[in-house]
Amino acid sequence: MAEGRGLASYILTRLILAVPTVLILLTIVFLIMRVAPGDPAQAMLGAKAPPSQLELLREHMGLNKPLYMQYIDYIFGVVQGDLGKSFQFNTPMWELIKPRLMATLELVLYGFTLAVGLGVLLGKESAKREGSWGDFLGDLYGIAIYAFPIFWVGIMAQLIFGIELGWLPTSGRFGAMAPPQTITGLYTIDSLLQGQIDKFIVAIKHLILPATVLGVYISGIFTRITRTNMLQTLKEDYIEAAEARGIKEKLVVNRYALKNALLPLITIMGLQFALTLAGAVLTEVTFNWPGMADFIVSMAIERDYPAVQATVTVFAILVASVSVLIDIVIGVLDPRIRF
Amino acid sequence: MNTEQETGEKPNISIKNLDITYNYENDSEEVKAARDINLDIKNGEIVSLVGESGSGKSTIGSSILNLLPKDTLTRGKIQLDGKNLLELPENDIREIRGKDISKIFQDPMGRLNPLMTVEQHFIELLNEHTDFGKEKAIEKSIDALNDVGIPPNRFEDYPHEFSGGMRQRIMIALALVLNPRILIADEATTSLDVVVQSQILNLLRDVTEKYNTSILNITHNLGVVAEISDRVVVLYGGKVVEKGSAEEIFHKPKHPYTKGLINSVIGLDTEELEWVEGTPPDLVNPPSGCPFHPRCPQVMEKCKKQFPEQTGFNDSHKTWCHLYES
Repeated sequence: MAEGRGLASYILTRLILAVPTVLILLTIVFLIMRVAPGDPAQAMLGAKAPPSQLELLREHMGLNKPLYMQYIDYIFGVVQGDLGKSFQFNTPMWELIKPRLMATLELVLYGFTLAVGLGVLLGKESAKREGSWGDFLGDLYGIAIYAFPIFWVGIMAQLIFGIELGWLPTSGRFGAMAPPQTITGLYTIDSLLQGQIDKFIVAIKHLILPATVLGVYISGIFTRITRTNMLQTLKEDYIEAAEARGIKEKLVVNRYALKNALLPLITIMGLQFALTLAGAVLTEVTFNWPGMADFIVSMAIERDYPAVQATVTVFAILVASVSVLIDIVIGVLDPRIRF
Repeated sequence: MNTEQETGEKPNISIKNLDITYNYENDSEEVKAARDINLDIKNGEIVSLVGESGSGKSTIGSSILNLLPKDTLTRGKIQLDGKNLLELPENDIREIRGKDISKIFQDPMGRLNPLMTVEQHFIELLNEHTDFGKEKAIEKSIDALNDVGIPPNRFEDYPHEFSGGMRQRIMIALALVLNPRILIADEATTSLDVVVQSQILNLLRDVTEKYNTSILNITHNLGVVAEISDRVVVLYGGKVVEKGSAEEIFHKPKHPYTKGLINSVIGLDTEELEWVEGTPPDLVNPPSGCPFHPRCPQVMEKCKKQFPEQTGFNDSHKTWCHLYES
């Protein structure tokens, strides 16, 4: 019972502590948008726009208000889920962002899961065989895979599996067919929820190449971190004690060495998640994936400042949420952390 | 308890002509950690292995459970129920570990998995070695914890919630829950403070008496030896140099090394501490003859050439020293 309460208060503390984190992130986003060169109104209307028009647009955008008022408007907007309106489309930003965000999330979800699974497996097997050829190959994989440019790997994968072998589509998220009705916005989940196996297969086929390229790329880091941490935990006193109790090697490796090695790994996963988003941007461009990357680039070219600001805000909140989630997972796994 | 006789009763475990060599694949770094060790332990008997660091005492303890590093060569026999433990396949020796022979260690702080509760440690162990249902497993575990003075309401706690002494009690309960025949205690009280040390020693004696468990007590601390041992085996440089009842070793030590060890214990009336001059031998290139000769105050010419034969004073008290050879 005491344990349950400890965990609940730990989670509550983490959530409360996340508020200033997000606030700081939002402030940085706000400031960066203000110090970015150029006048958004001018940029939108062009160099020859009459001053009266400029003034009108500035007023419309709230740019004529004092900076602190703009800041307060922005923060309160975000708190209420209002990310502003796009100038070009005159629709609420969230409606524009959501489908793209879900596309990115679907890619990242599969890629990240693959990266963790592959990385932990290879790292574990490497560590068990310290100093052997298998260990050397695992270590080499960890370093080499990260050294390849991800877009090059993507293009090679398209060339081999898409064009030469013709097994998988090389671009887009769903092809010409109508995508499944939106429930979560993740096509694989939505199609399954509605029992549309054919649509699920189409969605998976489109996912395989980009998610694998992204996942394999990031798995290199996880391989190395898992290996290093497991080499350490395998030398811990509790390993020898468990062996002396006659516990099976498999259990000693998984329950003692790996589980203890995963704690620092999970922390690093949180940090890696942000990098995965960056990796996803490159993958999206390579595979023509209709996610956030394409969106933020075209909005930046169009100088649609509210759109850029909203996109960066969403990314910031996403990364902050993942870091809270990681803290909670660690709290659940590690009894020493709860207080 | 019977301390005088080494013959007669059938031994629980019997070590015969045991040689242990580390790094044996690399000739220049071969460590001759133990040579020609012979030792019988009877039911319910507490035998102490005494010596300095590097004397081979922990190595012998680890060899019984086959827990030595991979690059280690063992020769000789360690017999339990007519089986030579050194030759058992990994699966068979694993079944013996924790069930027939268990082990507790120095420094209990890091010996439990920090992510598992005490209960989970017990259930895992009992699942591994028995087919008890969950209920019976819990009952057994709580009994074992009760024996070592850990109240049942701490059963679901995590290791970090216990002190060092309590963790060692838990380790002892884990070691004894399956009622093993032999408990190897490798410096089991060394890292604990003196009061806790003596509590743990009393506990070990009581619990093993209750279940008729033998203890192989490995230590450099002669106070611990005097407190619980029936018999004492003194090791030097990987060889047995003297063995006898605790009484004989402490009151009538024969080997110059044993004498030195006993004189170097601090007593209340100690004015000037004596110690054994010199440093422990290099086991990669051990001294010729008797390994103690470079430090021995009574060294003779033949000590440098030849390891002495056994000299027996009675059935239990024996030494390997040229001084006593007739």
